[in-house]
Amino acid sequence: MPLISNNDIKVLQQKIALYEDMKAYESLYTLLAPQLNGFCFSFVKSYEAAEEIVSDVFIKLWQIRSKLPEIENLKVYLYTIAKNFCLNYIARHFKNPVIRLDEMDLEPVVSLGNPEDLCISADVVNQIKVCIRELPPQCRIVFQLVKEDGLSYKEAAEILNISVLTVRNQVFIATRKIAALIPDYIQSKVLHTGRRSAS
Amino acid sequence: MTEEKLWLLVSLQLSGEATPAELEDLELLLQQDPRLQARVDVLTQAWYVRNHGSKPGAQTAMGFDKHLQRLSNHLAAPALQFESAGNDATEPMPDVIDKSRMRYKWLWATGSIAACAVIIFLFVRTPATDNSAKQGTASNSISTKPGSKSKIVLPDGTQVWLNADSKIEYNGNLSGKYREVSLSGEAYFDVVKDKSRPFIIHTNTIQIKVLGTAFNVRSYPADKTTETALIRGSVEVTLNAQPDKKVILKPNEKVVVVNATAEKSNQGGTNAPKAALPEETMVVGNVHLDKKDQEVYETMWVKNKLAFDEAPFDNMIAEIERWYNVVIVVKNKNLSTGTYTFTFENKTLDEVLEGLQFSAHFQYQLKNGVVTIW
Repeated sequence: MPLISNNDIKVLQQKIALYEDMKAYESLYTLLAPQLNGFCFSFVKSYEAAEEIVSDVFIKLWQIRSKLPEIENLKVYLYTIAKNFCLNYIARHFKNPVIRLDEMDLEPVVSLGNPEDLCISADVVNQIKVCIRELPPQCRIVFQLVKEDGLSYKEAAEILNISVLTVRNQVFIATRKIAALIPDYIQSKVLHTGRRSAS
Repeated sequence: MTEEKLWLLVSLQLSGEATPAELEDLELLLQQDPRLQARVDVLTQAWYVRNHGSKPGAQTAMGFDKHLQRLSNHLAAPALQFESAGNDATEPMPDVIDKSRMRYKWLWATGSIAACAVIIFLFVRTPATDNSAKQGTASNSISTKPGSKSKIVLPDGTQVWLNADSKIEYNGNLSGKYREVSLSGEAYFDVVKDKSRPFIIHTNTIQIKVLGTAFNVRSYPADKTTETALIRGSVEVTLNAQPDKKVILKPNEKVVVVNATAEKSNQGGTNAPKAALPEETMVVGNVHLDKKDQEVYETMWVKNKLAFDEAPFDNMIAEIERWYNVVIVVKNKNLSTGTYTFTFENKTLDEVLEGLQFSAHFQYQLKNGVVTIW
């Protein structure tokens, strides 16, 4: 999946603000709704609720369209609104709401692909999934933003209100833990099929 | 410990945050141990799999149409479901104005409107009596027909390029305390500097105050927006409806004002859910620069270039109608989608339409000044 360049978003942002361009609004929605859905799902653990929250985020965006040119990084802005809406949702719908990010039980939305494509057993893929699930909540959501949504460290840091260094460390911790689960023996297989060249 | 370092470098590389030096380090480490390379490959491949939680059996991604439905519902009755007080501290949103502050605003608004009314009344009274006393200060008006453009020099030396179907009016020889003109349509102004006597342009929705500068004003009554694009110097734009709302433009910025009245009459056909616009809104953005020549699209008409930068089809047609003094009937509704970027220099109507046919596929017929497109 190609990542969205922030420049494209800037262009759309301008068009929405200046001309109330519905086409641009739709493009922006199509570009960002899937990943925002995933992000919100991590918090609220319901696809329906996540979708409604994302829809509300975009309603908010439409309501403040004339102020859009003032927003530096719209993607970060939308994630931040989404996060706050999620926290509000949790405060309202959960029995014992925990709204501290580092204590919250977040459902990871991290895709890994098929075992066959990765040349590892399904067992290992499951182990990795469990491993991601067992990461500390903050680490998990940081990893998800960087890996799954392709955000920069700076963007992830802004959204979660933590330092860039924390993001860097959390991504490292997650990577190291996952890497530890990838066995050595696939080496011969990969070399044999010549599926991937060294990067 | 080299393995620790390796995974740190890998995590940086995959996140796109590694510096060239770090990438080199990584390369080196991997050359030393080909077994690690294989594991890095697996990780790399897994990393770039992204489907944003479209887990099997769960995802029915809300389509844009469904979202639009919710949007129009919300615009009718604002207050978002998940928006609430509580966690607003970290929210980079504009504050929600509570009712009591609203009331103060109303007081303010009515107060300032009353004040303005008084001021305007005084202003109108005094110069009017002055003018009638002087001789030869009757109002001058210069207008262009559709299909023609004109360049004029005002009594103070200011140069004005008047685009098609536009009209400019001024009193006397602009010798008063302010140099005031009123404009309907589009014009490019190169105003002679005179700090003691500001130059003021009135349009239906805004007024623009300048000292000495060059800029473009587009205020066709039929258009949905009034635009002011500044080329150099600085101008101050004020909404007629809210005189306290001011915008000062910097070079290469433009301000777009949504004409509240035009919008109502122009709404047929579009399915865009309009937010209730109780007041005119001003939006500041940048002018459209041509990528090659760094020429500003907004002012190309001055050089007799018919130029569009990602213009919606309907806007483009309206412009061509004015430019060539024709009536264009669009029978194919599908054409209204999509935007167009074109520059035509000294071209005939036929040449322009033929050029357009290349990207917007249509047939046309020109008969007695009426173009039919289907």
